[in-house]
Amino acid sequence: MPSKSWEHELIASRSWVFNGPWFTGYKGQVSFAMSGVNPGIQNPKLNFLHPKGFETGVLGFLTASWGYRVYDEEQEIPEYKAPLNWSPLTHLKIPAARFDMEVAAPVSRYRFVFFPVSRDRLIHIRFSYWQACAGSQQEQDQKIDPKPMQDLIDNIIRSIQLTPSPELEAELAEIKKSSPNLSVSPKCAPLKWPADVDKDGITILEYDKRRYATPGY
Amino acid sequence: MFSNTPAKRELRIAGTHSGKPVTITPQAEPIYHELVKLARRGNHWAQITVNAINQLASGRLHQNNIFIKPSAMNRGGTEEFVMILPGCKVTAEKLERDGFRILHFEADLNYGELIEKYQKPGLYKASKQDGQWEVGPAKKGGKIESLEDRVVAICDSGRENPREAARTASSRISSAPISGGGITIDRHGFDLHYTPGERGIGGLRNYKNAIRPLKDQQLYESALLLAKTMYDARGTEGVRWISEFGGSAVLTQAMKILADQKIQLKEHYVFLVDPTTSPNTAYKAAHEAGLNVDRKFSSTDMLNYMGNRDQLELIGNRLRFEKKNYSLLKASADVIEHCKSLQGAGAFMGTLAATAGLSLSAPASAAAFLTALGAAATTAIGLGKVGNAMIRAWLPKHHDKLKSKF
Repeated sequence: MPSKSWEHELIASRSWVFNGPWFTGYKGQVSFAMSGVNPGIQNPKLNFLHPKGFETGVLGFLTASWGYRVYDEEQEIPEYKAPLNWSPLTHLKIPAARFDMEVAAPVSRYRFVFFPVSRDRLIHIRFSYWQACAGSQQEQDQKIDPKPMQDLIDNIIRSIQLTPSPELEAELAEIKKSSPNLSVSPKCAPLKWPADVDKDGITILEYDKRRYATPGY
Repeated sequence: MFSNTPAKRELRIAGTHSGKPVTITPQAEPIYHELVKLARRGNHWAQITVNAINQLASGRLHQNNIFIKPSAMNRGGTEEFVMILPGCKVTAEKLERDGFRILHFEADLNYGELIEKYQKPGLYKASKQDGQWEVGPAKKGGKIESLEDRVVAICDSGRENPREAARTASSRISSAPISGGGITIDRHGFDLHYTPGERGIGGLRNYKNAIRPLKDQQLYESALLLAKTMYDARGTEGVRWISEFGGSAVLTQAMKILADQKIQLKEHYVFLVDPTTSPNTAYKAAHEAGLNVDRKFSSTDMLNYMGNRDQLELIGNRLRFEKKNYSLLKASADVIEHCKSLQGAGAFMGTLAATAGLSLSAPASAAAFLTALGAAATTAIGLGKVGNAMIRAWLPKHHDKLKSKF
């Protein structure tokens, strides 16, 4: 992250290897990583427990982490595309969302889950999965079915449970007084990438290659 | 034949004002124009091809370049040859009156797409995220990250895709002294030059290509693209080019191509991890291209026949070329180490045979003995009985898997 605007701490990571029938061997892999993230600069106005604040935070983090990567410098084609298939996760009782991210070439696919655990902290769960073969994504899907891998990911996402701490419970009750509905937007269009974020990690700015590459820019 | 309009004149595409004229037959013309268009649009592989054709005009290109192979055909004083370039094969002939004529293109104008599908060689950026090696899509311009002391891995072929290649290469290149070790590689990542293919390059199974890596035609494309990448990186200081296993052949060819073009990479370093092709040929190419070598040039496991084969010649060559840095003392130390490694291989065979319950004394033939050993070993020997160094030498894939867990 060239903007260095978010701090992150890895909580857990794991990966699952998928093998075919006997003697066909390695076919693909799902990897999972969960980390806690927060903006480097404290922002008293921002509250991730509030749906709007949560969405701003997630989109800011995404842009800071992946939005600046460019696949084709001349035509400004971004390396990643997100969020795709955005949907709110309602069973968690706090603002939460899952969505996908795609790469410009068939390297791997991503599925994310985000939810807040305090005013300024988000939990970021990232699954990436890929098939061990070559070809365009369509050809790869024909050779190796991605369904078992996607099913595993969806099962894990469905099984997430959240027990709020007393402090978090109190804060949520506070917010519910002013806005009873904590659900996030049902839809979110993909962001216009490439883009940069400001030093606060939230404000999305126009892409400029020199912004963080040139000292004193 | 009977018409009054003259036959279409052949287009002259290079050497119009100076140098030798290069013309092109009408049949090959449209493809050439297509290639030029692609090159202008910034496709680096098309640029290589167009430049190579234009360089014919400067004279001797066709004689001393490894990616050009003279054809057996000679008719009426003209000499035919084939250039194997990324995305295309060019058949040309040298004319009697000192010029060249492009006869035929076998071009693949979708080469860029094939790179994206990992079916052609490409350059990838590998970085470690939350304990996992991730690669981006193939880099459009084939240029490495312009960072000082950047590490570039040249991997063996036979991997499923660039991601798997990056995973395997990461642990291997971090064993190279010039890589800065595992922490550096994990922190900064590396660039990966990927060569697709069904199986590994070189080794005993491909003995002919292994001892003459410059003659392995299948790698020319990959080597040319790597040579371009190396050339483009010449302004960046301290780049480390590290090959693992069969990647040594690609790197050898690329360095040779650079040397033939009189390009010197004085600020760069090179190292071979367990080469499966002749390290001595690689050393000579590295020397010609002006690349720097650390105290060691390659690391070789005791069972790697290819890596050990011409070590003594290599030491001799280092003594000859590196008068300043490589003393007789270092050379003798290297010779002793090399002998120890060979001795280790002997001891290894003994251990394996003992654990497998076979007798080494007067086996009917070495080949039969090895087959029996292989069969017994896969079934009967627990890996625990063989040491770590032995596993690394004998079953590198297995070793890497184990290593990544610790």
